[in-house]
Amino acid sequence: MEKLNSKIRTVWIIKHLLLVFVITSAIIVLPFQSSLFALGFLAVFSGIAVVYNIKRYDLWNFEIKKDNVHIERGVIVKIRTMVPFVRIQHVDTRRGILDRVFGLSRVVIFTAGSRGADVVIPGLKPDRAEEIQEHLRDVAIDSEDKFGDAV
Amino acid sequence: MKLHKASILYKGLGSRNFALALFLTFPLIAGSPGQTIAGLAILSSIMLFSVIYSYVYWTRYDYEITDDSFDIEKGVLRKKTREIPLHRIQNVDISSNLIQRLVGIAQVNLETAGGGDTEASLRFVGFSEAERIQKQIRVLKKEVKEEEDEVESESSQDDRELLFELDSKELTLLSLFTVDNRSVALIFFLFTLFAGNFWIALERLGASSFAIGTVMISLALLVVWIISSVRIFSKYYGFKLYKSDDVYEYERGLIQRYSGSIPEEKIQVIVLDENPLKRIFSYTTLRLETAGYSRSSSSEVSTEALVPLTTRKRAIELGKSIRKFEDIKMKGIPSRARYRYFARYMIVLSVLFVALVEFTILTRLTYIFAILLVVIAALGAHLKWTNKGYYRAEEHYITMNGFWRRQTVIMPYYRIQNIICSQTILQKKWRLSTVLLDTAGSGLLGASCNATDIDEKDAEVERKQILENFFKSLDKEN
Repeated sequence: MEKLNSKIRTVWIIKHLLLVFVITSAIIVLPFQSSLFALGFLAVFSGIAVVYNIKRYDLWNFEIKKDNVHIERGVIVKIRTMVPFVRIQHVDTRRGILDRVFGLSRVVIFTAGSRGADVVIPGLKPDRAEEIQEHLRDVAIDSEDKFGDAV
Repeated sequence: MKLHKASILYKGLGSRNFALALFLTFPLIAGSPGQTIAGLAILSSIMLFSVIYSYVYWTRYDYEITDDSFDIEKGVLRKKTREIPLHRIQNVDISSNLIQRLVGIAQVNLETAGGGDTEASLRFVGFSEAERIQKQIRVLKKEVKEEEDEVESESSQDDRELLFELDSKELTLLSLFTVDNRSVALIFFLFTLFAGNFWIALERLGASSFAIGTVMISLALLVVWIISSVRIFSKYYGFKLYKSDDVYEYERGLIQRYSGSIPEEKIQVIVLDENPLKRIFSYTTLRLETAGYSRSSSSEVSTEALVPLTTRKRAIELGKSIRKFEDIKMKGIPSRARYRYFARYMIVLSVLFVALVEFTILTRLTYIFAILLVVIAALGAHLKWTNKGYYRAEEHYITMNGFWRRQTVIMPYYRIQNIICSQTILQKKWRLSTVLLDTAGSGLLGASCNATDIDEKDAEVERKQILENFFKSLDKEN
């Protein structure tokens, strides 16, 4: 099993803290709420954001196996996804602003499925992301040759 | 080819145009006598213009079926042409409502793959012409396909085989067994309209509020049932299912005749759909989930059935003729799941109970009610539990879920898109897990193939075996 780059933990925490700050400032701006409530909210949810994302990082694993991509993740709901290579439609790599600041990249795998249509592996070094992308593209073509069209 | 001549008048004087014209001129018509005449004059000139427009539209509309495409040329002010390659046409639907049937015209919709959009809609052609179009496209598509595949076939004639016909007993049972959603909506509407007056009227007769409540609720249920039965009856009247080559075609309807088709290669899963009533009499509805294709009348997607109702035995036989699946031997889920459901129901019912106690006076009835709630929760949990199951057959994965609407989903392994195993914190406590097989289905509304609340160790085994079977099944398919 491969772990994500530990920087993603910081990215996640920053994202969630930003959200907490936005909500906190909204609470302060609202005339009928006390600043004490806002402070309490800030403290509690910042704490949750930090603990949650540390846990989330610890539980995030993935593996590119011989015929499928296997992903394990989730704090509240533990989810395991298996995407057979034949079912991969296309693979993207994406970098958001925070990703770029921290020198990270993410791989997005698209299938025709209705629920798990796009599977994301975040927190990868750009080289690794590209490597995975290329590898998946190659194996997707290979297995399509072997098994025929992917629907 | 031209559209049917009757479509000029039908469309020109059509209810939509008329309603719009009436809406615009109504203030005038409702005014003084002089204004009424002026209003009526304007109204008739609008309608006349509408008919003229409709006539021009008709003269400029032309369609043609060539060897490999369906061409349409139309446009009153600007000429538009469109060529639809025949191989892209998924199906040809014909529909016709009561008035259209009296006039002898029908609407033909051409649908293509990818999205639920109707590619072209012929409004309107004659009955026989509609059928000719449907037939010709079918034959031509087959020819094109055979050329591509370079398969020599003796002839490309049109042969349809009748697979299933809803007999009158089945139609009657179907009408009585099924509750149609729209009728429920209708009764809510009627209820809000009349309930108040009705209540007062009964009160005057000196009935107690308990009696009035009972009468009104049973009356409402009865009306829902009757309306729903009538609607279902007219919807599925004369239902016939045909198979021609690799397309399933069905037609149905008393007032609005409808015909549609399902291409075989689009079939993802087979679903046996049963409510408790159907189960008692061992009857079943057979549905298919398809990929990347939804019918033009999107509101009916989830209720459209391949076989509206037949005996379970017959339904399974028909299902097996579509996809050769194994005999269903369901494996139940662990009995501790039952306790989980019981706990869940108890929480919900307790909240309800507390709310009830808060707002009413505590009497002996309250205690009886409390006991009743426990019984309901236990019964509910048990029923939910008994109606769940999964079965890993050689070539298909079969799951069963739901008490009120039990769905048995039969999915060939090669239709799997990805496999998702999930476990919530609460499930973890009970050492249970859920395995979901995702298809390229019609989204969240459709039936899903999931083995819910199975033992977490079993889930691991299932997950691995399913993946293995998936590859085996792919090998076999190609």
